[in-house]
Amino acid sequence: MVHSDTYRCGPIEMRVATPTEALREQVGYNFNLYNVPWPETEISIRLDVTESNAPCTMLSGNYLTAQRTHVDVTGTGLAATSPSGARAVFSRKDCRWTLTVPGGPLDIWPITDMEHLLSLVVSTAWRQAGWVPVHAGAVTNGKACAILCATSGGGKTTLTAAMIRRNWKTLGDDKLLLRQRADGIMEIKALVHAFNLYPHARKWFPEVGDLEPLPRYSVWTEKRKVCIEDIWPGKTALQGSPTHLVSIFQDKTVDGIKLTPLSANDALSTLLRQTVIPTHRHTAQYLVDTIAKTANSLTGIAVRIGTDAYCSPDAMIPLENALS
Amino acid sequence: MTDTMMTLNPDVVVTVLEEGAVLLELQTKFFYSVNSTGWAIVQMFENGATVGQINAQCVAWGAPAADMEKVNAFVQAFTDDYLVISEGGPGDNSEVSFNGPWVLPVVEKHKEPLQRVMVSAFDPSLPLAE
Repeated sequence: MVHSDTYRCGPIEMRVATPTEALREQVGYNFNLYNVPWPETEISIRLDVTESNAPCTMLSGNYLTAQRTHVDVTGTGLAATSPSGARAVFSRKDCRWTLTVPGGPLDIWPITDMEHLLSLVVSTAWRQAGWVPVHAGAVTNGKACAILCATSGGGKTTLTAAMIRRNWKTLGDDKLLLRQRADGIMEIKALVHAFNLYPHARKWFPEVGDLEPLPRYSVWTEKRKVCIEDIWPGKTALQGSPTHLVSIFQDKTVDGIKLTPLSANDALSTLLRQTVIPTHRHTAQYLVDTIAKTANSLTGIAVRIGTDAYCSPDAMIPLENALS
Repeated sequence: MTDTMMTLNPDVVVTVLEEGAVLLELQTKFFYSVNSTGWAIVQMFENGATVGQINAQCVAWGAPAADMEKVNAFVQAFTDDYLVISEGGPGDNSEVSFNGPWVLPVVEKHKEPLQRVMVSAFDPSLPLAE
């Protein structure tokens, strides 16, 4: 029996066919992550999930080389392979992906590879729709809107929570879409209104409560997924026009937080590192255009955050002042 | 090198900004910023140009003879990093515009390249060991 489901991932409508309940659950788990409602569908993608134990040779990764996913450009679109044997093929003309996973019980590696392939599916679709996926957080107070940049585990979520505590709203802590509107204005939009928080964040933010009993976000992390509105009602925002770029550094030598201006080149470098740029000229051109023009329009601030910075809500006042 | 025709490496994408341009080399993932004069010279590379043609054009844009050493160093930086390749026929650079005033061309290579291997198609972070 084939299950047919439709998901909304920001501006994308995903029409998905899965052959088993287990695969249906996996796809649903990944796509239901994008819980921010968008008013319009900008592009519709079909995804057929199938099972096969046929051997799979890793591709060269001439379009994109990720840790467990190699993606090549083909005559008709893209093809991707993973070490577990999970793979995917995209037909650009038909806007259709076929994702094949090894048959039998799903263990950790096929699940991990499937997550990465589904990430490729949505990222490709967002780019097709003219958006740039950005691995960053964002906060806004209605006037200023800051993109918060750091590597994975670098403190985007905690700083976002600290700004929420100062009455700012957030567009999300690590997944945003960015584009230049027809009138030239840069805009960012929210995709996910959930945080992945370490249980120890409670010591700084008691309002999050005891997160230990919640299931882990993934097998690779201690983080727990929490709905932002459940903890901080009214503190989410759907979109903003970015005014600042904040580059986050954790620095044990700093007391509280320390701010320094970012040069235009450092702001560019920071924002470029928050998005995946495939080795494909046409795609890369659009992404670099959008990122460079955005970075060029922002005021950049480097924020060094000491270990005690989140103990007091007032520690964020210098950052608030800089953003104002 | 004066007569060698140089064209922009097809693996380089260029984004024009108000005060210059940004270049990303897709294979090495290094990126570069150039000022307005640098962008004007890059446009000549897009069409194909020799060092001699670039020098002549820079003089036409107001460069004093004493600046040619710096202009040639700019070109050499592009050659050293394979941002230009030695091929192609003579280009038509009559459309390349530079509205001055003349300043020395500057190219800044950013310290670290972008990640060539990343966590996933969404997350550009450097992967951790599994």
